[in-house]
Amino acid sequence: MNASSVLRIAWYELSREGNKKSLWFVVLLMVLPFIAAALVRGFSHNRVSDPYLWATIMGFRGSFSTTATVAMPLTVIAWGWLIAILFGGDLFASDLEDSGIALILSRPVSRAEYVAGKILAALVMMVIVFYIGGLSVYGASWILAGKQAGFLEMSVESVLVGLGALPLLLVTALLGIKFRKPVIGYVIGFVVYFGVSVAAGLVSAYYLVAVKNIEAAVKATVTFKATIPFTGVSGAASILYGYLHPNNPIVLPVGPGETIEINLGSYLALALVSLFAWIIILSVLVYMVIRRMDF
Amino acid sequence: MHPLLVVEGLEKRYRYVHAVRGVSFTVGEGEIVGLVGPNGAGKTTTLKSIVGLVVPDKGRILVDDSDPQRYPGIRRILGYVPEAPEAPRWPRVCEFLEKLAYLEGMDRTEARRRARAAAEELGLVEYCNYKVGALSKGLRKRLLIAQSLLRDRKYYVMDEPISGLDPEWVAEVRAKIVSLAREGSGVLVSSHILRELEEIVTKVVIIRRGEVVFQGTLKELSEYAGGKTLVTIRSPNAASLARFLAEKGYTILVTSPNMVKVEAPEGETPSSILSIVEKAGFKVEGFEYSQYSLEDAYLRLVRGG
Repeated sequence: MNASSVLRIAWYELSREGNKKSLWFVVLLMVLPFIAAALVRGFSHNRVSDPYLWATIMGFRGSFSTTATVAMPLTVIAWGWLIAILFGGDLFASDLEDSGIALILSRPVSRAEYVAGKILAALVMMVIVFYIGGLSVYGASWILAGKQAGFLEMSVESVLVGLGALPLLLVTALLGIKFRKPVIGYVIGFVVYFGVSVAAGLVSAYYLVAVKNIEAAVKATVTFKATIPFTGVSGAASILYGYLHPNNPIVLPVGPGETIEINLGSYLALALVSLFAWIIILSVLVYMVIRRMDF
Repeated sequence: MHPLLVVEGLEKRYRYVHAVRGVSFTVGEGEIVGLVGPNGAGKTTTLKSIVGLVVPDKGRILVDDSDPQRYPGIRRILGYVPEAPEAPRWPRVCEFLEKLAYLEGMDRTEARRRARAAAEELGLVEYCNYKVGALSKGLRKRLLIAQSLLRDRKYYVMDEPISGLDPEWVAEVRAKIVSLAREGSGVLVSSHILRELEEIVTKVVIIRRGEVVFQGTLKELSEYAGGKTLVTIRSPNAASLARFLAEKGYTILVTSPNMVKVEAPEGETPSSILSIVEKAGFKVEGFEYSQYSLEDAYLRLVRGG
């Protein structure tokens, strides 16, 4: 594989993505925390001092403060699954739909280089989108709760969120290729997201109802989310936060008025290995499909 | 003549269709080879296999002794013009050419220079800042030809390059193909109409239902017709006349609602055919006969005569 060809394909793909309207939709999502923060700050004179508010809003830290509850759905992290599906659905399928693939693959570019370049571009795109999303949340948190700590940590975790988007993005991309239509990729991407989320809920419900063990239910859910990263984009990043802040565990609701605290640090290796394994397996699957396709 | 491109025993089967069955031919330096056949004959599959867009089931394709599927780098010397006038809609015309040149490994300055030159050659400079999606079909076809000219290549594979172009650009593109061959490139150009290519090709490969039914020079194609006579009968009930003649073993070349064109078999004269038709009770409104043209020979081949 020629690295120069991979980089050229990635550059081509990034310039294509730059022309998409959905990118502007994502940009709009990114500035929402700023707008929300400015509005909240304008109405509220009591500033709550919290140097890690950014982590709460990004969903890494268990908290049920009003600010976090209101702000969280306004972040790109909360809608990460949707962004992953939107970008994945047409990552390859749009080239099939507009015949751009014939003009690319009739040039001195192998199919492996094409796939690697596209996936590299998707990775760069996701990291940029979620890093800007992270910066936006960090800035908004500064407005709301004063000086924020852990800028480097926020950066690393945002990058990890970008990586966390790849499994769902690649599943959607794979289906988009298979059916040669982005829209089918989007639809099945939604089905995968909701299906796996429901499955995670069922696993938890099984332990709660059948085994009647709350701790086992939470652990099973966390293990499920760590090993099957299709229920969102921030799984590994949340676990990294849990690892870096052992005194700041995730608090999960387990019943009416009941919560349980769990330190996710011990799941870090599992989550990271699973994330990279899924990215590699799905990338290879995409290549296997494209390798035998006629265009 | 040293062959640049070799297609040998090419086979391709899609789920329900055996699209290409053992197609073999060569294209040499400075040659213009016409790949001609009716719609669905397997021309596009053959051309796409050569550039690596279709994965053949069997057979061998060699460009300068290298298989483009295995060694994609060899495609640097292959220029490809797809049949459908489709291209990504998002970029601007010259920007798109520049991006494609960059994908070929050129640096940005060179890519910009070559993109501009290719746009000039196909009269696209005035559309440089148009989005590709805003171009008409004819302009998009010219864009697709321009992208194949982004570098000087040893070999060009053009799938119906003149279909959809206006007459001025048909002449320009034909002239360009001839000039590419004069500069030493081998050009493989497909069409479903032989007449479109007969002025420029040095060799013709006729393909029918995935099989090569003829390959040779136009002179050889003309000799293949063997000075046979063609009879054109105009009749209000041409369809039933065609059936009647086919049952009698005549080779029907063309049928329209009021005309039938048949080949006169050896030993029969045009007047004897006329007498058979009239005796059978068919009304004849017109009657002509002529020698085989290249187009007639081609029609005979693609209709299995």
